[in-house]
Amino acid sequence: MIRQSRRAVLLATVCLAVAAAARAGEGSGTLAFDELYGKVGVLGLSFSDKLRALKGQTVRMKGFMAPPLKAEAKFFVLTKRPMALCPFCSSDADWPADIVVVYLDRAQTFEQANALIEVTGTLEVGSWTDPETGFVSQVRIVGARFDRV
Amino acid sequence: MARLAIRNLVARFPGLDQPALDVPAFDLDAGARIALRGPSGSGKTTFLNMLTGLARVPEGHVTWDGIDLATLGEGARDRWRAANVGLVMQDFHLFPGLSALENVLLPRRLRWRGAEKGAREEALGLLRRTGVPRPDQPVETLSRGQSQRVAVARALLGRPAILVADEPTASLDAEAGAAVGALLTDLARETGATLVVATHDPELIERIGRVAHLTAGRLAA
Amino acid sequence: MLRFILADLRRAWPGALAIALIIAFATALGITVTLQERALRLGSARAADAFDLVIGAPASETQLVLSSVFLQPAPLPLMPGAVMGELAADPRVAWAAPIGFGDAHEGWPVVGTTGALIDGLGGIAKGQGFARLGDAVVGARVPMAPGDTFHPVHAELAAEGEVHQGTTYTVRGVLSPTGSPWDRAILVPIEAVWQSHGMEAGHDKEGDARHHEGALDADQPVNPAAVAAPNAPGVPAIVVRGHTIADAYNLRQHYRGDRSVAVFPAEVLTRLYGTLGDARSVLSAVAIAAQALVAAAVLLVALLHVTQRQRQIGALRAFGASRGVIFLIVWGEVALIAAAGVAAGIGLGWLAARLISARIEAASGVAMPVEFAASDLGLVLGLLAAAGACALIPAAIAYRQSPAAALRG
Ligand SMILES: Nc1ncnc2c1ncn2[C@@H]1O[C@H](COP(=O)(O)OP(=O)(O)O)[C@@H](O)[C@H]1O
Ligand SMILES: [Mg+2]
Repeated sequence: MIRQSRRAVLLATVCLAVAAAARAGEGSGTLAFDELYGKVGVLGLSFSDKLRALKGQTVRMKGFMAPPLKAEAKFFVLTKRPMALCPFCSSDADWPADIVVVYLDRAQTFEQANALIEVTGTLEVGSWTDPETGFVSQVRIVGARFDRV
Repeated sequence: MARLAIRNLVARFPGLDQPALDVPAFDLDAGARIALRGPSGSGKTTFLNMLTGLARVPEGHVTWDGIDLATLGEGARDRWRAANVGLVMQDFHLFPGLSALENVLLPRRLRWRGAEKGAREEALGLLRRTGVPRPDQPVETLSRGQSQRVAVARALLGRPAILVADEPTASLDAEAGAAVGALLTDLARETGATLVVATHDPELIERIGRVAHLTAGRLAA
Repeated sequence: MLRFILADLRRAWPGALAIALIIAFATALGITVTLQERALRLGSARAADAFDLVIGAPASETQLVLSSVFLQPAPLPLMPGAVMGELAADPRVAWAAPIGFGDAHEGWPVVGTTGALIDGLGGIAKGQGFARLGDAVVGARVPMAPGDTFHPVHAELAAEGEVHQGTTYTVRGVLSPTGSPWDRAILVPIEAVWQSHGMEAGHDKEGDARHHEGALDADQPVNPAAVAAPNAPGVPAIVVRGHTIADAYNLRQHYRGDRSVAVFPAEVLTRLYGTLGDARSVLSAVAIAAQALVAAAVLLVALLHVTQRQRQIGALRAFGASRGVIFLIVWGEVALIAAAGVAAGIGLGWLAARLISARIEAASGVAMPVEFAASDLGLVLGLLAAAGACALIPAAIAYRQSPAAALRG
């Protein structure tokens, strides 16, 4: 009996360690929509220092899931405000300042449109064209997972 | 060959003022045979439990060939018993659903390393020797006398150095009892095992030859 | 060791089978809920894949999507014909196709549209598209072949058997399978629908078609410009694909107004999935509760069984069996039955979901993908782990009696 309970303790310790490892990313950078870009110059938007510093790192971001264009998709648009509004209509610029594209590991359906969510994933910065959809984006969170908050 | 030395063995049960067993000293030579006689409740089973490591030795020493059972833990006693002791009880403790042969082999098979090579042949030989006609007969169809013969065969498998029987003939009729008693003593002699039998059966006591009396937990030769 | 387990199971097989079956049913319940919900979600999502944006007259967005994507018959208000012309000229639009419902042929909906939608749905598998007003293209599940002819019926009047006597269509092509309700549709040029309902360009946009029944000139060539004409008749819905994703969002915004409403079918479905998810949560809770109950019942039976055999097991130890092996045997026996039950339950659950999905598929045309996902592995492993953990209890109980006590009898 004693040996058994010792084994149980060991198992629990391993579980905790794994869980801790899985959460290790969570201490990393939190990013807000206001922090994405620096001063608006003559040349339009420029990425902020913070954004550049966090490039390639695990980041967390809160925002609203825009209504998805495809019911089953590998990506969605994260916006600053809930989307009765259009994420691409606010400015004439090609790329609005208050959106981030979130790419997931696998295509899935969504239930959280217009809900406040928190996304965790690796930050990518710079122009990139999605070969599948032709979607050109500037700021992305890839390998992401998300939860309603 | 197994030689027994008991020193200052005392066993108490909660609720009893007197110890159930109090044996200051008791020795048996290797290959010795002894009958243990005493009224019901005198401590025969308790004594056998101490001898075979079925129960923990609470006080004193029970030493077989230099191994003191009092110093062994539960698992170690189980392993020691499996290697050295053959047991025959008043009830046969056979597993229904298995054949006579399978019952003889079962305790050996239920070990990490399984039954030894040749165990099957040995078991068949023992069943023949104990007079069980059909080794593949399901045990639930055996008579009481036959069941006890299977139990004796099981106890002898692997030629244990110690053979212990607790009232082996008590649940049998006279004829079957005589046959089982004869088997036990004959086989113990053949294999040179040290034999300890708790019994009231005068015929069996006579057959064994040497008797110790147990009264209220105290032994008298 | 295994032989002992098998001998024991053989002896007690009716009980073991009953327990395995109960476990199988409890498992199947959870598996079916999971698979079926996923099939509904993925099936409807994939069925809507060709429809990025749907524009209709301001009314229920949900109804607009159900009618256009899932061809659920319902009267939709008409949009001014000019909207189509505007879309055709919009640089953000890759293609736009009007759809007009209302007719049917032997239960297959007859939908008026243009060649753009045929391409958008995946194109023609056999034959060719529209060239003349009397041409038709059928969905993959419609039992008609190029060369067949038919007279459509006005759907609302189908019961009265009113046939557009003057209207005869000839099937020219068969659509590639789409896994959507459009596999059950018959596509005809929208101009033909207008003509046969007496809704020629420029007059009587919303008139009652019955009184203006016109004859269809089947040999008149299809004229794509007629659809985009500013004075074209009204249509209930227009399917639009934008050049880029940003275009799609912009178009959605631009066409939400007094005149029209624009909606991504995906957003309606996503709302639906929220509800479906809630339903799944409830059903899953029920399934888990059932599984817990079954686990408790199984545990009880296992305990009774083992308690009955405690003496035998203790005796085996006395006669030289190893304690660990006996523990493993009792555990293995219970775990084996449970694992067999879980495995059978997975198969059973899959089968049940397949049967349910086949019925839905036959009725709606929506292909239902019954498939396992990586996350199901977690569910199954969880169930097995729970079963394994539960099996520890009888095994530990079997362990409890000392061999001396077992022999005392
Ligand atoms: N587990 C036990 N708990 C309490 N008392 C016991 C226990 N086992 C035996 N006894 C008591 O110890 C005494 C000796 O019992 P036992 O060795 O079984 O006698 P015998 O086998 O000679 O009939 C009896 O009084 C019996 O009631
Ligand atoms: Mg006794």
